[in-house]
Amino acid sequence: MNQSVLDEVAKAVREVTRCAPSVAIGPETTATDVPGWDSLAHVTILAKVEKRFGVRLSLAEIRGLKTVDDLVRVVTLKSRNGI
Amino acid sequence: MSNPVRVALLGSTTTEFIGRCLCDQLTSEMMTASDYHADYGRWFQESLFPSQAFHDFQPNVIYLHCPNLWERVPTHSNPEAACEELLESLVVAWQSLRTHFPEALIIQENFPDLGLRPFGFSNRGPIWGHARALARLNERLLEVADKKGNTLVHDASSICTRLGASHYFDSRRYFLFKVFESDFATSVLSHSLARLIVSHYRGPKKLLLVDLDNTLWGGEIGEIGVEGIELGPDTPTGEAFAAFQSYLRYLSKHGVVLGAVSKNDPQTALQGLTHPHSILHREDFAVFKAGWQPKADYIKEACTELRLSPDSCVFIDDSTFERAEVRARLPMVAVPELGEVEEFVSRLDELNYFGGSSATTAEDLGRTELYRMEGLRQAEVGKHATYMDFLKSLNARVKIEEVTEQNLTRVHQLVQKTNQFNMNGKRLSEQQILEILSKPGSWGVQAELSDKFGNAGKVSAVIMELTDRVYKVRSWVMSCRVLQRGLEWALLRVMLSICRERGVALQLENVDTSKNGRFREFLSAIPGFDPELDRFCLSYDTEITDYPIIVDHPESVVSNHESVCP
Repeated sequence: MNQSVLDEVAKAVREVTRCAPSVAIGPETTATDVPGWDSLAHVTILAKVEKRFGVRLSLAEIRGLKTVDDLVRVVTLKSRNGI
Repeated sequence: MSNPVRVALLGSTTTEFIGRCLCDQLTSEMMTASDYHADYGRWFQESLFPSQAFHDFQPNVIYLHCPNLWERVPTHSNPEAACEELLESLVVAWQSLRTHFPEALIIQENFPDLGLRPFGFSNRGPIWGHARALARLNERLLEVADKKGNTLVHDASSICTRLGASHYFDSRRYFLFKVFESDFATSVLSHSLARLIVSHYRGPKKLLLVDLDNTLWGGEIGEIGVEGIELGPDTPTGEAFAAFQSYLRYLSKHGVVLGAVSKNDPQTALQGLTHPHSILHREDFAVFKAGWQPKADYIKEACTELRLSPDSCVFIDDSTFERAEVRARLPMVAVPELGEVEEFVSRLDELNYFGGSSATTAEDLGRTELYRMEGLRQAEVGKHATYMDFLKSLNARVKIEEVTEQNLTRVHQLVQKTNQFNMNGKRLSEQQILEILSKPGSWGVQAELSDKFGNAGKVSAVIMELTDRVYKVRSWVMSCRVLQRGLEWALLRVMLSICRERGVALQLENVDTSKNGRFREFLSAIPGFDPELDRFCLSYDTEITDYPIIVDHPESVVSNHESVCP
């Protein structure tokens, strides 16, 4: 688990959904766990994370995302490979 | 802050991102904005059968955003029929929306060309292939929107061309989330849409004041002389200045009033316009201010002479210092950052200051000349003992014509653009004007003013509706170019004579739009005016000042000639 990527993803989720600080965001968190994480928020969260790490996820990669950890993994892999 | 803008977005794709961005843009233009979104993909149903929430929102702008609808046209077995069918569904939607929300401005987006060319980039592609299908569809959309009136077309296709299809359309976002535009395109599209809405409410900018040295040509003419300035085909920089001049000339020929503001000796400054490669000449400028005063002073003088409000003015100068001085002293003047000369045209064009919600008219084409005539007229005032003597010397004549479907364009434009002499600030659409005029006894005229200096064009319009005991003036606008020439009083006399024929009173509205001070000054000069009342009734036999203007009108406009021809 890459903690710094996780922190950035969690930050993006909090900024976009404006969820209460009491809502925990960890590797196992899914969109349904966070109030306000709807499809529109999802678009914005992905755009923020992509911009922050300079990566672009494919359609298939986005469809494969289930948890925060899935997003952290794909971003870590892509940013390491510079894609 | 002006009145709140409530924009309803009806789309065949996701509209929330455009809505959010548009509201931010409108807020930055000092407008309070809120957005409403039809449920995803339900643009047609919501147009035909607006939901309660849509009604409750009370939109004053309705934006139809259906960028993917064209897809069915080139693949259809009968593409031409598919194109017409699509347009017909848009017309049905507009008509229904107009019935449900008669006051709202309807904006239809056209169809962006994503550059799909299955048969390559030659002119050998099929007639109804992607390229031609889209070009035809967008052309037909303009025709239909013009014919059916009251629907503005927002040119998303040009934005797509400017950004490039690959930057405009984000296929991944589209297939995943049905968001058609990329983040970047959303921002550019919303900016353009905001400019359209702002210009609808506030009127487009009218006056463009430009510096000369290093703005219209390279170098300082006072130092290097006319032969030393960089302009024209001899150098790349000279070409860039010439291209900018061409762009300004195009604007001036299509209704934008051009003026020069320069820190130079006036004779030296003028020499620049005699350069063999100068595209602009002295006669292209309605005002020419050169000297050593602060530029904000010259801008104020120019606005006063042209009777234009500084908030309808754009000022262009290469000097950071001059731009800062004008911004500080005249914050209502638009002072853009245009970068280097090679970027002047594209940056000014992107800002879309002069785009409006009405079509170009004959008056637009000669506007700089009309303002130049006004300058000559002003110079004449001092030669007469009284202002009335001056007016008499003008030999003014007003030609009054009934408003019909054929001459509606100019009337509509006047209603859309006039701020200062505007009775109630209501921007009636062509459709709404025709609806009022179709009622029995209703009366609408436009007035064309001419005098010994020339023809000022069609400068005023009045729309009146007859009710039981009064003629209600629904709209009265007059171009600020012809203020204080007695035309408003001559028209009031005509209106009263119409009332006399019917034996009814005349009702004017007393509305403060924050910009119509000139109309309110006129109102307060009418005998018996009561500033406490929102509506003010005038008896048909009210005595009003007789101004030296000859009124020409056809029999159908006023049958009682005696009362209106002094």
